[in-house]
Amino acid sequence: MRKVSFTLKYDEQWKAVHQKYFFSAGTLNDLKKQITAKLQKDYPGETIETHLYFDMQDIPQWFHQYHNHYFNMVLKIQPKKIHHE
Amino acid sequence: MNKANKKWYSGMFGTEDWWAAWLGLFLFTLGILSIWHVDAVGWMAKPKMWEWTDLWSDFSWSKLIKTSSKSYKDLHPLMSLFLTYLVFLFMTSVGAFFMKWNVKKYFTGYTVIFLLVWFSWIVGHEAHLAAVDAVVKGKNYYKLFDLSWGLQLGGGVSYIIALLIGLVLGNFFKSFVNQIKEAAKPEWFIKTAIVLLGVKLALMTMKSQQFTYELALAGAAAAFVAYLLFWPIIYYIARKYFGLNRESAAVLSSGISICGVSASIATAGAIKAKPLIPVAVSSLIIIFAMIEMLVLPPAYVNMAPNQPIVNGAAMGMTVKTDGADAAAGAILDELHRVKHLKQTGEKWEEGYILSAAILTKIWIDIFIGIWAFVLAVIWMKYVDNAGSNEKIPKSEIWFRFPKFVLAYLIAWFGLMAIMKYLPDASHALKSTAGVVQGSFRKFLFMMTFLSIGLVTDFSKLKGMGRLTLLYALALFVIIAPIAYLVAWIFHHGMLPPVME
Repeated sequence: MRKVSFTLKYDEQWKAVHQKYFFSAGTLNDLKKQITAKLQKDYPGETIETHLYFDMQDIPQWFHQYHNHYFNMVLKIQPKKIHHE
Repeated sequence: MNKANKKWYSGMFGTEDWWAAWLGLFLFTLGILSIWHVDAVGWMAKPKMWEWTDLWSDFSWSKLIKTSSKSYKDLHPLMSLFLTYLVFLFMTSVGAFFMKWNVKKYFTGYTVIFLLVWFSWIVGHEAHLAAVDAVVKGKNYYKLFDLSWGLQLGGGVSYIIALLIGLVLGNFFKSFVNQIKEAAKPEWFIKTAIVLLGVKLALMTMKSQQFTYELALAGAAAAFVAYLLFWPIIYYIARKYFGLNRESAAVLSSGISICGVSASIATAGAIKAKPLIPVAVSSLIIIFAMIEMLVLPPAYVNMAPNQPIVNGAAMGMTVKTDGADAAAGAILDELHRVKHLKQTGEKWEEGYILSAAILTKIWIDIFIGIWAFVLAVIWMKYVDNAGSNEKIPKSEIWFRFPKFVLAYLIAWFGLMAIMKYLPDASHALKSTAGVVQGSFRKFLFMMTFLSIGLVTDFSKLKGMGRLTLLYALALFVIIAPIAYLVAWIFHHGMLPPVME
């Protein structure tokens, strides 16, 4: 299984940053859809475990003293099903 | 360079939480060097009770400040103060450097806050304010200074002075505060102080095991109440009667009912809300925490003067954020002991009431990771309706676990183990441990009080009328009464030991 890691950022838009990819969307669901579509296209037939790590720099530094973690998430992207007519 | 938590050791040298653990353990280690007959802590300055006419007639720094232990009695008071400044500046600046703060700004901020703290601490020890007309450790300062009047407020008045100075500056001199804000870190200071309170808890446990374990176990019930009772009630009210959307209601409910700003950030992360929501809610939490810490301690002391431990535990469940809870607990501790001293001539030992407030809160803090994990799973499945291709890593629990609690437990059980297995060293250890949990901890409490004042900006309440009403209702009608009832069930009749 292929593993791809993104840094997740928020600056009025959700952003997923990777050396090779950059995605941006107004909602997290739209962001996940973009990532899924692109990775399915780039790695056909492969299952991809996508890790998204939130960058705490996007939360004002002053708040870090209270809690220093926002969230991480994992998306398991299955190969796209090909429909035969 | 991003600040994402990827590995289990992420943030170990880059977050306030971890640095509270490191600093606390470093100070704890200094304290236990007495096993090898090294007093590495006695140089710490501490304020003395003084009287202004006496000082005016014959000024001497030694009337205001002394060293924490007799082994340093020849050290000039100003040198002791300077050493205190330098050691804490160095330690915290190392932390600031690793956390990539602006160290130059931190230095300026720390220096100003340090001076204001010591001004408040010394003024708060003026006999007309602090001396109580009773014999404590063989001395009656009220009689000793031949006072014709006195407010008899005890040592807690220093905390109030520091808080008021911070509040005035924070609300009326904002541009000045912006220059020193880099060092106004109440949660960092209080978490470090709480680690040192672990030392106090070890000494308490050695003295009365039953008392300490009862305190610790009852704290678990408090956590149960906060997560499973307060949260759903507040969430329901926020949704049903205040029309808040799901995300805002969840974040605010956690802030009000669990542990303040940290819970609101954890909850927002768990439900993957936009980070703007916890940031907006936190201003409200901080302002209310300030109101709670000023209103509740005197209210509880007057309402139930004979239930100090109940009052402490209730405080731990009611006052949000670790800093405000510890600060409120410290005020409560002082007010209770002074009232009891004035009424009976007996002085209760310091720190027991405060420990009741802190232990309750620590239990709540410990479970925040598990709570957020469970909430994240529920939210993902039933609210977001996310498919089975998304999962929450279990490492989230660890990332949300408050690391300073580990250091607190190490200090608590570590000292107990050392005293048990090295009984010959226990006399020397008790003396240096006293400095660690006394002078060191109180200094960090003073830094916390001043910093809380500096960062509390009442103007941020503007435009938050509806949320303010919800917060006030939830706090005073739901949380405070239920918290008090639970604290009473578990702790009624428990009293701190009387000082010998």
